[in-house]
Amino acid sequence: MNRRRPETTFYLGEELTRALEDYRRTFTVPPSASALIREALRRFLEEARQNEGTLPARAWVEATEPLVTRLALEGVSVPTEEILRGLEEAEAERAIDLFGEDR
Amino acid sequence: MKAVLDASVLVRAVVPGQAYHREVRDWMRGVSEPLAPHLMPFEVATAIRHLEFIGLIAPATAEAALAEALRLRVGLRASREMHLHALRLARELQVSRTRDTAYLALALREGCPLFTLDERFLRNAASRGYPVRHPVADVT
Repeated sequence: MNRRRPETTFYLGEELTRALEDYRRTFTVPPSASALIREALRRFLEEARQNEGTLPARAWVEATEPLVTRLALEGVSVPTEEILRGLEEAEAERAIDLFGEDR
Repeated sequence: MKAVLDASVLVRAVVPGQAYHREVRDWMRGVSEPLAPHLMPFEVATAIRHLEFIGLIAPATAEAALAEALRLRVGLRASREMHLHALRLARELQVSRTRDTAYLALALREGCPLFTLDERFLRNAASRGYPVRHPVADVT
């Protein structure tokens, strides 16, 4: 007997609803327009494609445990301040890319 | 729990360090729906490259850490409104850049908190009533 998978149905519905809301926020179109549905579906499928090979947070923590253990054994110990400094660099790099600033 | 994570949280979770590393990893187990603006993977890559560049981690470590970091399933979002909102938030918080406020704009749109390790930004935003929190420490 075929059984429905309600959790899958819920996931699809939730994601599609969000994609539709995003699209409505971005473009002024009648909510019933078929283009709206197509665009929302396109975005949903694009996100699903991008998520290939990724893991939900709990599984991700488990999956990355071997790497983290190895790095800790190797003595890798990075201060949070350096991570924040790296993020500042990301912002500065983006500014250079966008505006050609020379800092 | 739905939550916007900034890049500092993700990098802290994947690279061992003195403060909050293990606690952040434990905390992340409870995040059922991580969200971030589209710029997040670029930021993670740059932050890890920075650690490599200044000699804190070896090139092979940087490669492994980035590859693993990018395996987290994060809902990446981008919209014109988010960036406009980020600009206005940066003005209100009196900061020159819109990186942090893009995360905050997303959190406000999604109706969930933003989690960051950047205590200066956290205090600034939280003092104005915005839902910005540290994942594990009580920073007020």
